Amino acid sequence: MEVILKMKPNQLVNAFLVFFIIHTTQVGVGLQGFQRIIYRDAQQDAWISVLISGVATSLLVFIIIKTLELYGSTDLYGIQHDVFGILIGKVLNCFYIFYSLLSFFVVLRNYIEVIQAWIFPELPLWFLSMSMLILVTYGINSGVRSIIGISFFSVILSLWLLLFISYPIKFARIDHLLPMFEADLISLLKGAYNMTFTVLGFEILYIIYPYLKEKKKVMKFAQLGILFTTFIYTALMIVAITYFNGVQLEKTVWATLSLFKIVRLPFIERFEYVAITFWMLIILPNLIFYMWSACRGMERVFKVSIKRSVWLFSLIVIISVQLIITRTQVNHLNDLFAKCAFFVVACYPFILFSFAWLKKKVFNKGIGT
Amino acid sequence: MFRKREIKKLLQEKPFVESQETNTSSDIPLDSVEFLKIIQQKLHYSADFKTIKISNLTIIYIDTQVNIKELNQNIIGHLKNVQVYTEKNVITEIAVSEIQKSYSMKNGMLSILKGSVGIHIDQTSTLLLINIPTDNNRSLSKPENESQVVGPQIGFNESLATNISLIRRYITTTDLHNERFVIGSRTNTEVSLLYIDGLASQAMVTRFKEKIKSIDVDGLLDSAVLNQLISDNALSIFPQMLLTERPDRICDGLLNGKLAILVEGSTMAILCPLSFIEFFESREDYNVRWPIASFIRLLRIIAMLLSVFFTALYVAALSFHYEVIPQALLVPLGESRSRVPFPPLFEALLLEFIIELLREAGARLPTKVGQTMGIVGGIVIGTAAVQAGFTSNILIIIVALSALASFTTPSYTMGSLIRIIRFPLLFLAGFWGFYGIMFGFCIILIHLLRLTTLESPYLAPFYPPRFADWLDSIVRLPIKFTFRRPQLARPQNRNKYNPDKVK
Amino acid sequence: MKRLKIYIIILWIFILLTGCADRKILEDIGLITTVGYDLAGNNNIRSTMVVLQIDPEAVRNIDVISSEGLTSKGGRLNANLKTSKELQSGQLRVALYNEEIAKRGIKPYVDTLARDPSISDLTYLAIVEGSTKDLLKHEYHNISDVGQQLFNQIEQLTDKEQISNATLQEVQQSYYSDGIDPILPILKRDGELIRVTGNAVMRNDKIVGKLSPDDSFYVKLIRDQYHAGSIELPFEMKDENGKEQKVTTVIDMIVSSRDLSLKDKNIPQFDLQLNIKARLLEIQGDVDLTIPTNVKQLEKALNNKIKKEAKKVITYSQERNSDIFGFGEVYRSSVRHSDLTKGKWHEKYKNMTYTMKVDFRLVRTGITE
Repeated sequence: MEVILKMKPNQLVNAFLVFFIIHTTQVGVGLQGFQRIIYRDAQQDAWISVLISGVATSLLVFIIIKTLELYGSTDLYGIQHDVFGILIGKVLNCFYIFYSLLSFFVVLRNYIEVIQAWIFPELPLWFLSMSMLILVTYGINSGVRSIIGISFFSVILSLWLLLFISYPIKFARIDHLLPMFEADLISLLKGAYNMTFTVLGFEILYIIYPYLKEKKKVMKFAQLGILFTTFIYTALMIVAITYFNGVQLEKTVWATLSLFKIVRLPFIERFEYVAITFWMLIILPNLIFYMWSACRGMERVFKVSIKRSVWLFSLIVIISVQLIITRTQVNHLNDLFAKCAFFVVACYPFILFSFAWLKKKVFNKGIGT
Repeated sequence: MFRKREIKKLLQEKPFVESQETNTSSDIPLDSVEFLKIIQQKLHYSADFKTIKISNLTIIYIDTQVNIKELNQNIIGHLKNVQVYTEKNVITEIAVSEIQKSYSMKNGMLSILKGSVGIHIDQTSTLLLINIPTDNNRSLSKPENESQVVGPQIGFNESLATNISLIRRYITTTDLHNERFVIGSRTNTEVSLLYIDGLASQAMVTRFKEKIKSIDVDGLLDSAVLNQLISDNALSIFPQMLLTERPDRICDGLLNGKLAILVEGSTMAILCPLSFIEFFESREDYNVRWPIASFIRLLRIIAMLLSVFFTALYVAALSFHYEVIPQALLVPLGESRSRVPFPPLFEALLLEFIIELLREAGARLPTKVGQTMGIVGGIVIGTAAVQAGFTSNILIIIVALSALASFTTPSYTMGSLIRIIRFPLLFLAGFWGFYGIMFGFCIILIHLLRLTTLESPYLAPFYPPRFADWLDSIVRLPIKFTFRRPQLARPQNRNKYNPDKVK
Repeated sequence: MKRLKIYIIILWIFILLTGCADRKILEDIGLITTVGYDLAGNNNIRSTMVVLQIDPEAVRNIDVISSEGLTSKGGRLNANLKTSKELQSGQLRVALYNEEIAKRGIKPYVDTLARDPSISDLTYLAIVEGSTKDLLKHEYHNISDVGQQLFNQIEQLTDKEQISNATLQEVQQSYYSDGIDPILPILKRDGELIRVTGNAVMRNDKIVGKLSPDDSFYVKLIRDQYHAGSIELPFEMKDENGKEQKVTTVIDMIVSSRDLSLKDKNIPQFDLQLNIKARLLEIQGDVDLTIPTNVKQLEKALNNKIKKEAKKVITYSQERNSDIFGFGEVYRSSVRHSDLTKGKWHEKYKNMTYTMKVDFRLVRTGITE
């Protein structure tokens, strides 16, 4: 396998699009209802947990980009292959493919859960997953530039949803935030740990990196993306804490969506119906990126073309989506995935960086120095 | 208004590309009898093929294609005075400016078919071609399909020469390139590629020429067909090149570094590359002041969205999401719906179908009848349908509104696309409500992202984001700020003018 | 391969077409706009529903159906047996509870509304004196659609700050909150009219007392931090000659704010400061407003009047042990690690003391003097 990738100029995209890539992969199903999970631990100081997690993700992004910069133009599959050798590299690469697929599955299942709980309780699982898979397949077949385009439009076209947060602010009670700094550090960190599932997604940098022009600017825009996401999360956290009462918030599964319940426009009585269906556009780049990074792995490791692996993975997803039917199962899946993702996203980058760095600097025999 | 001589002078600049052969490769027989025989065989003894023999000259022409008066006055009349018919003498005597020498039988034939008179001098292997085609063009008229309030009121007609002269009148520069191609093995249609040297990207010109050259069809009757043949994504429903009958629109494109293609016998010129948003722009936007222009552009975008999604939203809300209907609308909507025996989807389809029927009939019928038919048909059928309980009157308003909105798009091809794309969305809305509409929206979005126009991204300047070009997209800012040419066509020179010197 | 792909796509489309969602076509469903709950015998609940009948031929636009069941949703199922159209509660705007039910607690009824995604958070809740069935079933002379009438009436009064905003969201927020109790408007059928007779003072979810509309004004003044609407105030004041005289004024609050702070957390003791800027709408009595001292006198008299009345209402709420003012919220947000619960606060609230200051200013006296 080639470690250093040379991309054709027409495959490359501007570095500032990393902002949109990072933002869209992070924002997704987690955003719909992260508030109550964090609130359970950190109570009214939950927004501090969100900020902590923001700082942590920023650090992780820093490490990830530093790791990638050691090689110049490669992806995770190449680095693992180079650092750990052919055999272990392959195993790790397979694991990452599986992880991406699992992320895809979790995001999909959670969105389906929202659709079924709010709008169409009777629409079957296979239908919803199949319709989303059609979009994903079509998106992936359009090439990397189009995929990034979807993420760009997903941000631009859904910014207006933020305007409607002003409705719940009218009913907010600021004293819900008081007394400040009541939670101890442990619970704050616990809260931040529980943010894992929500802030996830920036690991796409590992895969998308070779497709970026002007690699020096990547760091800046990636950090800006993280900043923007953290800002939105914090804002939504604060609005949710002040709008809902604590006990009520803990009972509200999808607090962000419930915030939209208060919105009433002259021509739309119930805005949350629009918001939830519109959420498809927010979910879509998320799904496409995860699926694409899995397919990209198949292409890099096993030389199976992306178009083929999309079909294969879609089939696997459609079959496995039938296995998880109830809310309890979904919650269980989320917990399990969050634990697994915490290791992959929060611990592994440090390990990989130290190995890659050792190999490059100390043994000085890596490829592409 | 335009004299023919002027046009001819313009044509003189670039003679037929294929007539530049050397004497050595001539395939024209020396003997005039043999020559005539071959010609007549090739033309299958066509009834309108005429020959005149003056001493050792053989004059051949097709009498339906040439201007007989000019032939008599300027050619035969002058030739009568000549004592010795040599090539030189003949050329100097004939009082027509456009004379060419041809050494190829095939070219000579084509030229004669297009309205040239051929003169063959016995014992030479050249054929003199004097171009005097019949002047049977329609006079220039208003562009009927793309009318504007503020701006020039002239449109292309069917003559390539006239159309090019129209463009030359707007852009008087030596840099205007005019390259000619012949397409169609049977129609041999002339096609002109126009671009401004120093503005248009050379890569694009080369790419475009390759595309044109690779076309292999037997007939090309209109530029609209050529448009489909050279589109990047021929299977897509979206137009990727603009068809327009307005010379000012073409010139505007040329000045922005775009390429224009004109086809003989076609009133529509092609402009490319053109991004999605530019289909909603009109030349008029530049003729009126910028706040008005911005307002009109926003109006068009809203009209487009309204036209595509309004009926679908109605169907979705009434079939699945009764919760979203505001209280004030609940009773009127319900009352008008309660008479209708069909589900909302079927009702909407029926009405959309009727509207399309009226539109299509209106387009086919003669103008005067068409207008009456449109109004009377619309009102009579509409009122009757409501009274008979076929449709609800609120839906009539919605469908009529979205039909109206679809006509605000300046490009006719884009307008018809907007009408067509409603139907799949209607089905999606009727089966899966808002979820279906959003699904359709995502499909359209991905599709638009896939599309390219002359291998440039179709959704430019939005994606890839070129923020400087946003100033002249959905809105149009004052001229001071829009001094840059859109990057879509990759113009060689980015600046139109110095913004500091413009107020 | 290519042909196979096309077949697969066609197959997908066909399969998708079979997954049509369940239709709820507007004219085929009975839209419940208002629901009222009464207690019936055998622990049963009698639900009375105002169903919007969309039928141009019908004399009335609505149909009122009553039915009994063990639960509120059970009542709806039973009511469904009596109609030609499927009953749906997605357009529910007002939910009424009979006083008897409110004495037992409205929590289960509120909870079922909150759990149903099709019910808006902006649904108004109210308590009815007498049976809700009587209120809804009565054929009023001037009211064609009692559901709409109720909704418009409550909305109008809420907008004009005459009664507290008692939407589903607000009631839940106070109910789940440790330091504040919900307050709901009380309605009563008064002949051919529906009258708002005041506000219900709740302890948790149970009604414990009633306040007249005038008294409710003070609750709004202290509880809601922004506006409090208009009020008619009769009082006695000394004129420039030192003669006592009866004056009645109607004042409209332009800006009102309250500062509530905890002085002593053990008793607990609060400092309550009310800042009111108001304009004079009407004055009856012989007061010459061109004389500045008279205006000062008037201000002072009004100041005392408001203070007196407010104290009366607070005392009443302490007697009933229902913190409708939200003192507890201030306590919770000022005391660190208070571990406040509803029960604990109600214990404390009985013994709460406070000092009150009112800063009343007459900003405007109309366009004539």
